[in-house]
Formats: sequence, structure tokens, C-alpha cells
Amino acid sequence: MTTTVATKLSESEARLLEKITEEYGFLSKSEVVRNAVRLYLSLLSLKPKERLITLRLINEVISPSRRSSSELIEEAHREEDET
Amino acid sequence: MRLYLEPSVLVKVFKLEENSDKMIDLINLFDKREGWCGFTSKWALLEVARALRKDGKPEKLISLNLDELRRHGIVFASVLDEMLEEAKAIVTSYDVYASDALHVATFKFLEKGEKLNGFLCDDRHYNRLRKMIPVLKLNEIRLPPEI
Repeated sequence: MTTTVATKLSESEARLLEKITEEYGFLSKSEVVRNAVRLYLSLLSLKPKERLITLRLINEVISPSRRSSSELIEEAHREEDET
Repeated sequence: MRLYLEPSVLVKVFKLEENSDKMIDLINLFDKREGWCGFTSKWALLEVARALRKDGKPEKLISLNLDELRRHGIVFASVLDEMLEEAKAIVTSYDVYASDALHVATFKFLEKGEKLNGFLCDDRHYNRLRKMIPVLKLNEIRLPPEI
């Protein structure tokens, strides 16, 4: 049995979905959405600690840390102070 | 142990750096609710978002990170007028940033009612805030081995 779920995407998300569908040779945008949902549901089904470790890894792969947490918070505070 | 979490220790959860494993273990303890509790201000979520943005994390990933942070056993206290009043007094008396003052004020507000043991923060904040509140560094707390 299958279920249809409708959702609203922002303009930029819709554009990205279009781009990814073409770039990665998916049959349709729905297929990309199905894969994204499966991936996210897999992440959510992990135990809380494993989920945090996986998310940290995703963060590092997508955008490796350049500065420490302490430096980043300090910089954000300084920014507020200057405005 | 009942701890107030300053935002720099929360950002550690999403970065590979010193003590980030320990911070994940600590959140795991909060989830188990066996005498370990974490508290912070709702304002901290904005600071975490800004820090991740400054670290170059994309928008969608920042949203995922914040959603995840809210899923764990951390109490995010609302910002109340009386906390802002206290923060104002702190900013005028000490050389601290407005955000630091708000966290100190929130800690003081929660301290008695929630029986907080300390304010968990990084080295920088430790030196700046130790005159006002009982600050603790991640290196100073010992987690139970069986986690």
C-alpha cells in the first residue's frame, strides 16, 4: 500500500530539487523527495547519541570546522556589540 | 548534576573539536534523565545558529542542527522581563557582552528553583564570568563510565 503526501516547498528549494533531479539523473522530482525522506527517516530512527554523532559527521563533511565553538560565539558576541 | 549550558558548549555538539565527544555524552545523560539535567535560554538557539552560520554551515543544515538540539533533554527557558532587567544591571556593572549577561541572569533566575549545580562554559567565558556565578568547564565535570 502506498500513501501520497503533499508538501509545499520554497522557491529556492523547488529550484534545488529541479537541479538535483537533472544533475543526478533521477527519474522524477518525486524520486528525489522519496530518497530524501528515507534518508532523513533513517537518521531519525538512530538512537539519540548515534544521531548526534552522525549529524556532527554530516556537519564536518558538508562544511569542515574552521574555528572553534568558543571563537565563533565570541565573534558573534563582538558583532552584536558593534551594531 | 543539573547544569546550565552556555551556547559555546552547545555548538561543540556539531563540531569535531576538543570535548565535543564529552558534550554528546552529556546530552545522552540528559536524555536518560537519571539525575542529569541541562538548562539554557531560548536565546541560546539564536546564538548557536549564528555561530554555525559564521562557521560556513548552509542554512538547511543549521535548521536540521537546531531541530535536533531541541529533541534532547535540554530545557530551553523563555526570556522573561525580569531576566532582561537583571541582565541590564549586569551589563552596566561588569565588562561583559549583552548575551553573556542574559545567560548569567537566566542562570540566576533558574538557580534556586531548578537547583542548578553550575554554569557550563568554555575557557573564555570561564575567566570572564567566574566572579559572578559558579562556572564549570567540561574538563571539570566527570561523567559516569557506563554511558
